[in-house]
Amino acid sequence: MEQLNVLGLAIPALPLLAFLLITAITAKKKMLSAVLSISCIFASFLISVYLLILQLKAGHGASYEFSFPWLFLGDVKMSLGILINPLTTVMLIVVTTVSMLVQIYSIGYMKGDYAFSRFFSYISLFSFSMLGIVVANNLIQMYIFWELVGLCSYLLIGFWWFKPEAAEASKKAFIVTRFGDFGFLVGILILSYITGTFNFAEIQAQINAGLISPGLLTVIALLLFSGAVGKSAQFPLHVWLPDAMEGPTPVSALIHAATMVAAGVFMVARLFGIFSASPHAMLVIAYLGGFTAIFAATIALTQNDIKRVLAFSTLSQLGYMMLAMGIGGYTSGMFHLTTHAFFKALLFLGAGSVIHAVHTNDIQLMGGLHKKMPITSITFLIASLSIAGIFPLSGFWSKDEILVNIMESGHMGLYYVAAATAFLTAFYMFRLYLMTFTGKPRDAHAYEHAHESPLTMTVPLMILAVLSIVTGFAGIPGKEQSFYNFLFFGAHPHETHFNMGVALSSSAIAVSGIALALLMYAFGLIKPEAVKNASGPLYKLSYNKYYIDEIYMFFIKNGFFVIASAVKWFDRHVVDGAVNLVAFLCRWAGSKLRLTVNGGVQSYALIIFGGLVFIAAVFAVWNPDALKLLGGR
Amino acid sequence: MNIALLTHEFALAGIALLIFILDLSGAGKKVTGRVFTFSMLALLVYVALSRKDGVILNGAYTADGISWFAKLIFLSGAFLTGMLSTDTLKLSDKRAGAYYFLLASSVLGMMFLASSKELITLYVSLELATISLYALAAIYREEVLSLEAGIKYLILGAVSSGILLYGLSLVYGVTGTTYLEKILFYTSANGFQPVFVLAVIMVILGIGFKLSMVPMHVWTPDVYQGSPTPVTAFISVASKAAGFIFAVRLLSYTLIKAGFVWEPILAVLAFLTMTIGNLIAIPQKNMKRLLAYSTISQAGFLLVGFIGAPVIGVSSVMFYLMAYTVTNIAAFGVVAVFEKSTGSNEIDDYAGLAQTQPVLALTLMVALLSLAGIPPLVGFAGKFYLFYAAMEKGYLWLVIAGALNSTISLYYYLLILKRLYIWDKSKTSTLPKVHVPAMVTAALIICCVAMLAMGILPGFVIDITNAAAEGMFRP
Repeated sequence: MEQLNVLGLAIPALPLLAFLLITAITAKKKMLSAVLSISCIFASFLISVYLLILQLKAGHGASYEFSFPWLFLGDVKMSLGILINPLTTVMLIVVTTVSMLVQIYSIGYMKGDYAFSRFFSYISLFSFSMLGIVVANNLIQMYIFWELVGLCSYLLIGFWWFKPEAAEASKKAFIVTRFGDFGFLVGILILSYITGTFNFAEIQAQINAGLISPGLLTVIALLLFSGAVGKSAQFPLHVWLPDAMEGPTPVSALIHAATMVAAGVFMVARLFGIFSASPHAMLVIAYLGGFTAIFAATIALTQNDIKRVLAFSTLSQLGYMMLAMGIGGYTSGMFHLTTHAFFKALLFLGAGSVIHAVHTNDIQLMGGLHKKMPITSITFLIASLSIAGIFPLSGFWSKDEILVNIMESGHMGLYYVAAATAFLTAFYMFRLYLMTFTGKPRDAHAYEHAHESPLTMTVPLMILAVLSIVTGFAGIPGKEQSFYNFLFFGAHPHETHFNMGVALSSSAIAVSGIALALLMYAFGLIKPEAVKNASGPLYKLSYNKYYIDEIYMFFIKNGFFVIASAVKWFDRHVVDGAVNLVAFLCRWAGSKLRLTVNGGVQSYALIIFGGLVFIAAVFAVWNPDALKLLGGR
Repeated sequence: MNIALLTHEFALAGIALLIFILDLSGAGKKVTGRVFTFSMLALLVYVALSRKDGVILNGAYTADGISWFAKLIFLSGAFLTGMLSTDTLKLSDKRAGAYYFLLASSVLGMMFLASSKELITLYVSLELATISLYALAAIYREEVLSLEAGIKYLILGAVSSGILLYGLSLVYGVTGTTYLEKILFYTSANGFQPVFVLAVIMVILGIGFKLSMVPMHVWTPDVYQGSPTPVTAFISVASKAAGFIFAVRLLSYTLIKAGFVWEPILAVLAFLTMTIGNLIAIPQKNMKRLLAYSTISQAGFLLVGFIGAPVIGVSSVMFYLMAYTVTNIAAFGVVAVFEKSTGSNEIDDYAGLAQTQPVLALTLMVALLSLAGIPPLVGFAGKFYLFYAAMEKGYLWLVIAGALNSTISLYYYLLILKRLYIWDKSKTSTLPKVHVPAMVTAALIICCVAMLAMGILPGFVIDITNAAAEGMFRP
């Protein structure tokens, strides 16, 4: 067990070491920094695999935990620690694999960037923080690393800070997710106040013992969930993710597709004991997830920026996972998280390869790239088939299990939403694929200069393509040794069985989505322009993302800023005015060596005395007992 | 009587005299500044290593954990301010002596204040600390803004002192004693008297001036903007800390029985202080004014912890004061060197600083993110502790307001950071060129290391503050 302590700590510590070494020593030597960063994450990956093997051997529900005291707050001890259980190991594998492949890819993608070393140091810092969330055994540690990944995301979105859009997007991402985190923090504080602990297992024990009233538990669960809404970009806090695409593409693949944005889903899984104890909270999660899934999918239909299509696709898929969690599909949600991490990372890296070749994000300027970059094209196709849910790729298995879970839960409305989302997903992914890689080149100049990316970039694509195919086989329903018997919530694994009806109908949906895309973008039987004109305002709504950003800006300008401006007006005209008046009078009177004390000071004194009289008056009128209402216990 | 308890104060008085002599003997400002700075460091180390506990003067002077830790805060503030001052002040050699002497006498007042457990001693110490600051604010005699800052600070400070003194005299009138222990004994024996309500309100508002608590905050932006930047840094950390120590001694400890009066008042005022400070900070264009409003909101956060459960509340306030000292001095340190090199405090003029001085920009980023409460910096640990203390007392609504406010504060801190990192190349022809003197570099490094170390391992400091707070409440 001693050995597990060291190994468990080493997984996050190795990338931290890489970050420190790169920052302190190797910043000037670009390749050395990259090699250092990749070797550290590779070591973390090997340890994660080892832990997975140990877990598989140990059998069902094996869990190992250890803590060391960090600080004492009064009577409450706060510990840091690690928790290794099936959920941890699955997530560890996902994070280390994607991080490693993305870093290898970045050697090619970031080649020639003046801040090459800084990029790798940030990625290492991010990997450290993300792995810190995964191994945490208590809420406070989770929250600290949760904020740290937010900080890394801020640094990495704004990595090319000389681009104004990037700087703006990084700020937006930080603020919007922080609004979700505010609820998360309040939830943690309430929970710790009630239970007197931050440890997951101890909190779980108190919930099992029924020590927390159901109403309070719902409030806590929803507050905690608001953190997940921000991080996993669920409606209405989704607005930051599309803008975050201003960051370098490997960052989008790692942080904004595979790992950090999935942290919200992981958090719901980690705290599933709290959420599942509150049916109301679960219902909110399910419906919010379902809504985000279809809402984002309809936006993805009309976007022309290759990365933005993928960003809205990520939103939609995260909604899918949340939906699965909300209806109690703990395992299927996590399974979809795993398969999605691989194929979505592949899609982003493929998009990066394309952008690298043609130097534009606009798919209207692409076309016919299959001939020029066959590896990118084929791997991208595999990922598109996978996300569309085509048998026997990984997306098929995970999506199908979610659909079966929804059907079993009896929420048929959500089932239709999920099915419709699957159709839209198949359509927009093939619209994207066909417009990018097939047909005639629409920009001859870009096409001329396009070329396949170097091996450092294409090898990770090929590995991810293999993973996008085979990961699904781990979760074939009914198998003895499957994902479902390894990772589950509660005492017994959820019974899985292959539902032929669901499988056939979802396959039919996916195929018809692809067929429609083919008709429109490959054979030209249906003119996209005609569809656009026929749908009129609907197209505009989707293209403009339902004007959500504009609505927010309107409210921020007319709510927040009006208040701020009113207070500012007072500040400027009363306070600054007084300052200027004093300055003027000083100049005027300066020659006479006389200092005039003017109304500025007097009005300040008036505020002070006014405050005094007001508070005293409140007390005189108001019974002191009534004021207790403002206070606590 | 064990006069040895006063060794720290005697040593500081000796330093003040030494500066006086140096000044008379015509030593230049560099020499005086270095002597001041390094003697503050020496004294800081000495105080840290030689904690003495005891009571003298019939209980008017007490050396305990609280006073010891408070002295560490004041001396850290003074030491770091000295490091910022030496190379950034535009003072003549003639006036430098007065500058450092006044700083030393202000710290002396604060050190006495930390140990006072008697109303008159408390009040006189507070005045010694503050009157020195009035003069420091106006030390740039030729500059209208500085002069105005000094005058405003003086007049409004006098008004607030009057209110405070009135409140204290009411306490004396009821209890017939000025010794805190006896007042505590009286309130325990005789219960609560209605006239205490007025006394408590006046004490809160009087001391609220030092904390820049709403509605006593009005002086803050003007004084912060007009004062020399190192003085602003010192006022923002040490003077605020002194005010909180005063409040801890008088409200948290002595008038704990009147808690049902001051708790709700302070809860409402904490909410207003955080919110108003934050809202007005958003549209600010001047760096020093923005930081002034930011310190107002920070005072609000401190008040949230202050009304928390007794021991943990005091402990969280002490911890945050130390955290806030290193954080705010780092922020003002960057402002000081920027002002020295460019002559400007406008946020727009900071555009592109990341290009010419990446490390300086990074330092400001670390300080501002710490103020916004982002882990792993100390601002997070500190704010969490403050909120935790309030939560222990059941002030959920205030904790929610605090968490929301810290989110809002991130917004304007990021606005500054955005300025540092992007600029309009067509409009900005010259990027700011900033020279960072060695002493300031050292100060900034110390602050950043402290922010990180205390953020990652807050336990070491929290154990100390917790023991100090428990010690104070132990009968």
